[in-house]
Amino acid sequence: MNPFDAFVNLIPITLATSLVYAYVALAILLPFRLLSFPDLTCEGAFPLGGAACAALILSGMNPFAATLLAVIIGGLAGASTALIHLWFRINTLLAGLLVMTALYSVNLRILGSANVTLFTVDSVFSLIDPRLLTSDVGKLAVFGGLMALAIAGLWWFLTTEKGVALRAVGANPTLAPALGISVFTWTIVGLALANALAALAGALLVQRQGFADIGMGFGVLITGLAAMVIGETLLGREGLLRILIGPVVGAIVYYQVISLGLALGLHPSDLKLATAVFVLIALAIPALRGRGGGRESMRA
Amino acid sequence: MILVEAARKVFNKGTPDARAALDGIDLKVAPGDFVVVIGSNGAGKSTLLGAIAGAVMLDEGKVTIDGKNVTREPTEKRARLIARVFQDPMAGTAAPMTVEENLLLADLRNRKPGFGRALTAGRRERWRDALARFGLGLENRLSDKVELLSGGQRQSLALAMAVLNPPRVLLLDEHTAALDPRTAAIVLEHTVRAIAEHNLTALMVTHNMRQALEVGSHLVMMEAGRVKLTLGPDAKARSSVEDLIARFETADDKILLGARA
Ligand SMILES: Nc1ncnc2c1ncn2[C@@H]1O[C@H](COP(=O)(O)OP(=O)(O)OP(=O)(O)O)[C@@H](O)[C@H]1O
Ligand SMILES: [Mg+2]
Repeated sequence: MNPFDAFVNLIPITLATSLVYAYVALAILLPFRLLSFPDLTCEGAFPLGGAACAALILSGMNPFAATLLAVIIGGLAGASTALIHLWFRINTLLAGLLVMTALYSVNLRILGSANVTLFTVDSVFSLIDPRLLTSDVGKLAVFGGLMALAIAGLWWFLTTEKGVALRAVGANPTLAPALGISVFTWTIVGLALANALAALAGALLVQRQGFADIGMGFGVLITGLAAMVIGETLLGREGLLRILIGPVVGAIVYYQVISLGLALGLHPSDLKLATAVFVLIALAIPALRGRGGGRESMRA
Repeated sequence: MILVEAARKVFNKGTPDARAALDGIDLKVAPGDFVVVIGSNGAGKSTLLGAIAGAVMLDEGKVTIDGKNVTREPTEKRARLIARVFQDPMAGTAAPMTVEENLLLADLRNRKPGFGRALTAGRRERWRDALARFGLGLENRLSDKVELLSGGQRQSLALAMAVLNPPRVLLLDEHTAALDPRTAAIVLEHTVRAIAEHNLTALMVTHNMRQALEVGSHLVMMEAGRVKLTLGPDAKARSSVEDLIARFETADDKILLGARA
């Protein structure tokens, strides 16, 4: 089989994968763009969601309840990052780094070992319809549908009065309190929401692939960042719906590009380097075009 | 009604830079009073407004608004009572958000945000009316991002936001200082009109002595974190720009001119 055929054959599975990692891209985008809070927690919250969900299902819990609980636990991880920043005035990146590092140990505790398999137990997918994950079309329909629901939910929330209040905290953190909006509350809500999404991705992934692995979070941050940046480059940053769809489109493009690269002989161990260069180029484009603005905060 | 009693605030406490921005200041603003605050740079005017709004937490002393002790309340708790416009047009608006989203935020100042739609046709109608008064064409730019507006348009929006739901207290900190003379005149005119229309209790900081005499019912001159001079309506009406400038130079005389009702 020539390399290109291999790539084409992989398109459906790569698509389904990108629809999982797109949640992580959203989990980076929400705090970063809407709260001006660059948050690294998702690198820990994503495997946390996976580990918690796996452990809960193995302990006999209904997969739906396990997924929900995993999402809530992910939200708590995000809230802790927010609290570390708000209470102790610790730099946002550092707060995320602390929680992310601590979560590595937590995840190992939850899993009990470096990896566990879920082949013998039910998942949300097998409960809905055992045939769901056997076909590519089924997989795409499930993950595409879930993502559409998530985007619709986020869009709904962010266009309510509460959502506008949340965005005000990121837009002008000194004005927000003068308008009765609590920076404290909304920072916690925003980070909890974002990391709940990252945990959801982890929970869905372990149930889809049938195992959880302590290393599953490794590098999702840079992947998510790449997806976010690609999305912004392709769709721009005008309008809430575009902002929300951007990471999904970005994740899809990112995984296809990577898959193509691998098919053409890119060594898997060079993937992180390639991704970093990719993100660098995408971030540098505005500056190279000579209209600096916009992304300043990310280059700082 | 605003009552500031023996308020003290020292920045950089315990360092060689320590300095009392507010040095035991007392101030009483009766309901409906429009007090103009003047004083040299660093006199503590912005700190005083910050202390009333909650942006500055006092070391000592007490702030009471409408009989309620708010000394320890954070800004967001006091926001129901107080609206504020800053010197920097960037400060009073949320630049990356649209004009209508900013107006919604102004609507939220005195109530909790809910799960309802933020932007509705009815609200847009009301906001359009509120903006149309300024005659700057802002009413046609509801869905534009605020960062696209000029400084004057932004400051007009900030003022519109401040008085959209009339607050108990309006705080204006050199809010026309960054504007060109024509726009400054428009914004000031709308400020005066809104204060009169809603009978607002207001404090306005300015370095423009002519402006200080033209508008407002009372005048307070600050120096080194204290009130140096208070003028009631009659005394204020009788004063000239020269009188005020002379006052800047005289030593610390706490004369109370013009009896207050
Ligand atoms: N956040 C702060 N940190 C440290 N010092 C401050 C702070 N805010 C004000 N000060 C100091 O407090 C004093 C009073 O400042 P304030 O801003 O109240 O003066 P002002 O009367 O508003 O002056 P201006 O006319 O220049 O606006 C100044 O000495 C200032 O340096
Ligand atoms: Mg000042």
